Amino acid sequence: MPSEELSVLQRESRFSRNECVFAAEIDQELVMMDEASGYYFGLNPIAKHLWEILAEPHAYAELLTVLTTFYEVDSDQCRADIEPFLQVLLTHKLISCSA
Amino acid sequence: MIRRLGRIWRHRKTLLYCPEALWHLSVCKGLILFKSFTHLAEGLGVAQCETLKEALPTPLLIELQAIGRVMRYMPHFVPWPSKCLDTAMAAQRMLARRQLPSTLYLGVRRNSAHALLAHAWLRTGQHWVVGYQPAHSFHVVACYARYSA
Repeated sequence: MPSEELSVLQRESRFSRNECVFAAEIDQELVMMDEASGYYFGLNPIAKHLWEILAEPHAYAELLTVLTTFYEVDSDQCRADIEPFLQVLLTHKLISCSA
Repeated sequence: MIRRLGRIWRHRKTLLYCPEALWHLSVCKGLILFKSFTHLAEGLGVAQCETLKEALPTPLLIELQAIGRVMRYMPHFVPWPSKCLDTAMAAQRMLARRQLPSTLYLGVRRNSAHALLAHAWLRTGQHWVVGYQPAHSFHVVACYARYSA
């Protein structure tokens, strides 16, 4: 079972999304298909917002700043919420991280 | 009795296609079980492209209707659970052998329990071939255009 937390190295990386052409908007959500595995992912409005932010490469710290400001949550809560999500996206190669 | 024979005569093409349909359904089921989706997708056609929505001449339309009919009934007679994707893939292969271009759609929707449901359906020209009845409630996520075998 892969760790749900990002490694120290990943927290210092920049994240960017890989081009995913298989996506559809359903109500407020975004549903994407990972072509490698054939899995579908449903992104709720917050995850969808994060996905849109990742259209441009952002450092992990920048992502935390944007989300904690926008949603008025503390950074620990934000970190606990977004790290599993980023981990899933990394596992399915929907996003990539680079130094 | 005569009416039944008449119906069989009218649908003779459908009956003739049964062995071929069975073959394609077996192959597609095997591909889905044992191949990765990436390899599967290569055989589905050009990703995120659609074939033309044109009217078909009558002889091709008759072929199309026979294939659609055999693919509606054949999955009920196979010994494995046959779902929308293998039916749509098998129908696409039968059409490709006859040089009929088709587009296979993959779509999703949420059910009342908020779970994601997926569906696959097939179109040739202006005509839906298989899986079209529930298709209107699904949102298209991917489509694959296949032009020939």
